[in-house]
Amino acid sequence: MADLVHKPSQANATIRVSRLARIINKETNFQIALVAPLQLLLWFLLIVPTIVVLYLSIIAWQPILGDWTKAPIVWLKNYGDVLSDRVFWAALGRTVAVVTIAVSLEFIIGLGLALLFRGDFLAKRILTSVILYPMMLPWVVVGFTFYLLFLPQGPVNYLLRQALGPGAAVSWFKEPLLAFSTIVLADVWQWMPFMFLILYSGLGALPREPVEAAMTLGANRWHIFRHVILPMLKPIIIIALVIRALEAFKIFDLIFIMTDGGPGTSTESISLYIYRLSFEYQRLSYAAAMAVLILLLVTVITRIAIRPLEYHQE
Amino acid sequence: MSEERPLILLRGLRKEFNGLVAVEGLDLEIKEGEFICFLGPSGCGKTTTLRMIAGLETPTAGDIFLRGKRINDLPPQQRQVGFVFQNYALFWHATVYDNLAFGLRVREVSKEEIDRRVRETAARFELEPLLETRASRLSLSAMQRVALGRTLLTEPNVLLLDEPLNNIRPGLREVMRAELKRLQQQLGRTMIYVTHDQEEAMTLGDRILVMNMGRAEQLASPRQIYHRPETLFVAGFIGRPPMNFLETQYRVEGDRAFLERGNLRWEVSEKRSIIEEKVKGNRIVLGIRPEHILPVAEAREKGLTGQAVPVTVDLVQPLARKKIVDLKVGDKVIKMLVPGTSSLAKGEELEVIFDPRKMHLFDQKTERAIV
Repeated sequence: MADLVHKPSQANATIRVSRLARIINKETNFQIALVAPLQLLLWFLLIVPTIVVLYLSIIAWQPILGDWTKAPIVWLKNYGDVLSDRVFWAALGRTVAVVTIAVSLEFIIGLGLALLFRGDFLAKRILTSVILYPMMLPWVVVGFTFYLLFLPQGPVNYLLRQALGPGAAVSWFKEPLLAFSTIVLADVWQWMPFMFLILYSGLGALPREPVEAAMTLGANRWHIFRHVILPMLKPIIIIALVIRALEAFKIFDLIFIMTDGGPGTSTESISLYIYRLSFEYQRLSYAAAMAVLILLLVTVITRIAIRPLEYHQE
Repeated sequence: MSEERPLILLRGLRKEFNGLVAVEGLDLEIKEGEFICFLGPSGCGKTTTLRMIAGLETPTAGDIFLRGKRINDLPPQQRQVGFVFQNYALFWHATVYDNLAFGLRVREVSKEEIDRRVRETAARFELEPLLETRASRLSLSAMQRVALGRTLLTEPNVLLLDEPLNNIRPGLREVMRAELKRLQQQLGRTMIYVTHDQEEAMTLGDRILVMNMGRAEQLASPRQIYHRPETLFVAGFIGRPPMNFLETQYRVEGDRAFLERGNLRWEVSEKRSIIEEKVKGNRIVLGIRPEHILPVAEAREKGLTGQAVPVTVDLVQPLARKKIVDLKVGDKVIKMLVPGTSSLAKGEELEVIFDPRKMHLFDQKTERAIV
């Protein structure tokens, strides 16, 4: 027992450390050193431009007016103008419609495919990579491909004429609703695989036991899907929907290439409108105010959307 | 319905996973109201067998009968077989109430009826204050009670439990084990309990099925398993510290028979006929439990005779009330259990006697007991 009571003398316990080591050893310093590079990068990439945009949005400035630092500050006037801009509301509504319809379709098809792919069948691996293929294409390529497909003399009309006679050809980009549909279709084609990928891997990562427990408790396939699998998948569904919706909200390239917002402004999305305002009409301050408003809107909606996720984590 | 008919009958059950045999030639009869434990090391096929009974795995060969009806092709939903998983497999996102109600809801029982029965079960399992709590926030003991309650509400023919106490810390484990035993006695329900913990199997089971490498080694009461192990594996698996085994040669001299090991010999004349009937060859494994090895003086006091085995103490491990003493017999180490007051110390030399009434003999070739 005597051995256990013995302690090394205090003098021996003192360890000499260099100054540098002592600074690094201080936990807070070390932590700061670790995050500093990223912080600096973020400052330059995010915070500085954000401040510039915020400043732009409260001044009355256009490039032809010269030095932007000398432009008068008008505070919230631009914001007021945006809120009373009918074109803005129309573009916003249209964008929300595209997001809602396209993301819903992507989700439903993606989930269906993911459920289908849980089983085993021939050529499953090959099909999996084929499904993912559209996602790897650049937006521009997808937009241009669909533009070509739906041209008056394009393949879609060709097929329609072959099947239903010469009168069946449709001017896809002349009718607002049809033009809108082609855009939704292109978006679904390109991004359904993303939903599939996330939901498929999410399904694969679910624990098997609750499903088996439900089976032994007498639940049929529908019950198991509705009351066991879907609730377990909920966090992943939310993440997939939020990521997709955020991305789809910025829709620009597809529309820019396929319809350029037309006919008229009937397919103009909010991004396209902001682009027009800044680079075609040169109303940079006004566009900045609009961008800030959209940012606020998206932030608030996203916060609300991911709330169930936080609840889930408790 | 005849009382004789077993509740569950397994016949020649076999399961392969990609050519790997998990269960092989398993026959088993389980009577109504019995508590059976499947005991064996991990990977011995006990859980696979349980899952086949539940319908979660399809047997590669053999038959499963429930009350005389072959249920091989019946999906788990239609078997009315309750399964409690190792990690309870609750619906973590749902409340205790919804977990309990699940089995009744899928049966489309009326709302009032569900409510009545859920509350009844909650009362029995002391879950009433937790009914609105999410399953993921429960304590382990409450999780287990929810898992049991949820399964029992569907009135299963048999309750299958897959190592339900595995994740629970020692201490609480014993408490929950007792709870489970009490519950089974109250309900009188048939239960099959899978475990790799021999203590659990010994305390819970009416009968124990010891499994190894996918095969049934022995099916018997806990007492029999301990006192009359039928195979070398069972003898070595049950009991802590495990049984000692010494390889010996069988030799007959005149009308006496002996097991010989070097210059040690144990007389087995009274077992001669059975040995000669059962054993091919002459290699016999002598098994003796640590608690049945006694220092010579003590043995003589009790009137035990037999070969005095000279040994050297190699290691002494004190337990709460006993000590495990490692003894060297030539180049072989055997374990002896002595009272905590024993003063044996490393390096000490002494002679011990194997209690002749407690010796187990096994055919070295077949690894089966000679009885």
